[in-house]
Amino acid sequence: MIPAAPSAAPAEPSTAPSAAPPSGAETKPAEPPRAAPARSAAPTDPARDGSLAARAEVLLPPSADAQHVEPAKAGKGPEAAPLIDISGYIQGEYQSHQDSEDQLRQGGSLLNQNRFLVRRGRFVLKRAWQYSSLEAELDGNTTSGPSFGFYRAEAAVFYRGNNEKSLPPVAQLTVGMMRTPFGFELPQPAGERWFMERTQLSRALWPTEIDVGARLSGAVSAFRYALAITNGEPLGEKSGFQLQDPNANKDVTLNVGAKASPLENLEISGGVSAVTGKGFHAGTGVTKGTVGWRDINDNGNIDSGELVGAAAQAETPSKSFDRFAIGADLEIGFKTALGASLLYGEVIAAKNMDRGFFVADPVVAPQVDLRELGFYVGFLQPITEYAMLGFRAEYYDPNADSSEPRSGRIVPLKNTVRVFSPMAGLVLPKRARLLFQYDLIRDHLGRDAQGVPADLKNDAWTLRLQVHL
Amino acid sequence: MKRALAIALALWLVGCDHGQESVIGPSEAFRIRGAQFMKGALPGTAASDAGTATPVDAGGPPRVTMVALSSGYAIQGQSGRGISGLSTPNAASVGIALDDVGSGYWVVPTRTIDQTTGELTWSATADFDRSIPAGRRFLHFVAFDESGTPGEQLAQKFCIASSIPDNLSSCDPSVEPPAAVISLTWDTNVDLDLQVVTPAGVVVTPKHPSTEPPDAGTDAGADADAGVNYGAVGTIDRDSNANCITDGVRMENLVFPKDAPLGTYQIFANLFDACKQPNVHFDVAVYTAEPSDGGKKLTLSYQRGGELVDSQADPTAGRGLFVTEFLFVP
Repeated sequence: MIPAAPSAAPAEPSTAPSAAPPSGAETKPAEPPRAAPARSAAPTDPARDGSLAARAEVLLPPSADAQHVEPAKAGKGPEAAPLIDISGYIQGEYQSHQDSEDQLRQGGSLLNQNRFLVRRGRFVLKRAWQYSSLEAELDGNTTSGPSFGFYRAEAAVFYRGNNEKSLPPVAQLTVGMMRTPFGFELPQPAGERWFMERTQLSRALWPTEIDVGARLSGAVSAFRYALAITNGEPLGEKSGFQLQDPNANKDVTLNVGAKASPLENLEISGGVSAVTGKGFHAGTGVTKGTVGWRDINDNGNIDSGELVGAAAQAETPSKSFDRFAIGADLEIGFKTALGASLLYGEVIAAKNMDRGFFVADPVVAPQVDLRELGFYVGFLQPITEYAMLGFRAEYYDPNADSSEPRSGRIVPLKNTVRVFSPMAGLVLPKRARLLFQYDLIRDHLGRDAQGVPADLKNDAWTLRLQVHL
Repeated sequence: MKRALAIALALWLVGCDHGQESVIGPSEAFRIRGAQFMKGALPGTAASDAGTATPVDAGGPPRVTMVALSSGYAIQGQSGRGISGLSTPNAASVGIALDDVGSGYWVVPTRTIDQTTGELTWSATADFDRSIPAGRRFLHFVAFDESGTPGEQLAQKFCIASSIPDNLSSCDPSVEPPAAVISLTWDTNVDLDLQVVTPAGVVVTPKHPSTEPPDAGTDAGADADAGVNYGAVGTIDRDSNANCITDGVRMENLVFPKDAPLGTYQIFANLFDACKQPNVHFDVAVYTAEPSDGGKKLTLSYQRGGELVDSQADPTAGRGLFVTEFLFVP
């Protein structure tokens, strides 16, 4: 069974929130922790432009994507910009899952999920010049035992044109390990997200945000665009080929959107996204002949007729299959007396794109395409700048055409997952968050007394402390 | 805003006790793979033995009408036992339980229509934990209709046979068990070997599994003169996890089918290969056939545990760790 709990995802991508005061700034008056924007600054994800951060500074800390790193100045002195901009954060948390067992899964992995863990420890290094920039993100976590390694590595050249400093460049070419520019949730840095993890929908289609490839992106007036060509095997994919590419085909992702402020206290942004590519079904190698024992009468002894020879098997070829996803997202930010509220949502329809939950492989029997459909709606409401409330509801159907034989009939098989996530948190502005989230998970991974798929008792809650560097 | 909070709170409260139990790991001693676990006693009206159930009423409550087992017993620790059967056409699912074992029962849905009888098929694959006590029991079955209403239970005679080779006497008392069994069990997947030195000085190991000396028969007269009874030959039944090829059994038994030569036996545990495990806890037990209910029953006579660490692994060692001496007396 694959747990549906959103917070149980493997190491997931994110960038550090950009709020990065100098070391030791905790004892100093809070100074805006962002480096002075430079004309050559290079937002790493111009398609998004840190737009929510810009319109709701209480809601979201200054986005790492929006942080502009000034080129190194000549000379020495207190006003000289650092050669390398360093930022980061650590998320330490306690998780509790209803489906925990003090046992091991077949293969030895843990079934107990009631535990403390370092979900993310991220350090981001940036450097930018007039027409180029580079950015590296390191991740350490204890999600599946201690691990530390490269998480994101982007090299970029860009042309700013006449765009203001607050906007992305007109055009930017990025090559490396980078976030996939699809929809709203996927490009959002994990350090900025208020909810613990991305939705089940997003994590099923993209186990992590990170893929290897090239991306052309930018902003023209109110419009944003991003076109990415990637290997199509994101980090954390279960195929065993993560960040590699077993087929020559590349996934092509397109995102176009716009942002506008029709009223003084209202900002609307949104976009449409699409990705197309080819998945890979690994073949099998040639095998030697073997002798097997089938204990037909279950007596534990080898009896006549129970030794079965298996002839050497020829290899089976690998096959590729088509997959795609299309989606649309809409974000509405508005300022009230309480603070900058945010209402957002996204819908995605896909074919053979699930790589993290009910993994799609139409090459295996019954050789039919798997159609995925999902959507979510989220709402964030700051209560002054020291507290945050949120609620997110999502729906995901990993296989809209699933069926099974039951009671002598072929009947539709529900695989849908609905997750309702109330969240509340205390905030030390631009420094720390203490968040609590309960995930009410309604799936069909269990069965009732009639043998009909029913909800499994697998709700979860998480208490997380996140502190920025 | 208040409404949203109220809804969130309501959802949270509802979620506190909602959904089916998740049992994936081996926390239940009797398990059905891929089935849904339900806590509590198996529902339904009183059980009747298989073959003596009341006749099926076409318009009556759902019933399990037939259970197919490849044999009437399972050995402690056995995995992958197939259970299948038929149920009346109004059955939506079948509940399965092993009496006095575990904290609930398992549910599998009925599947396709059996073309011969017109009834519904169902199937399950069962695992039996080593901790289930050996002895005769019943497997209980009950069918549920589409509203979840259970029908009459069906009880199928079944037996959990001892993992100690006892000639299945734990299931059939009329069968005489072996005279004695020296058993070594351990807890991690290492290549651990039972070594026994017989009163005659024969070193019995999985590589030389018989108490009969290698040159037996060449000078039997002289041995007989020495008072050694070579007529009672014991044999080690297996080499578990040999060369670190994991079989999961983690048990080796020296079995004396008819008689055990009298005298003192030295018992060793030899860690042939630690198989990358840091340590192993083992247990040595001696079972002897004792009179019971007019017959004989294999009874635990002696037991002792111990531990070995990986640095003690030595495939060239003539003897392993000395565990104990045991005296077979008349």
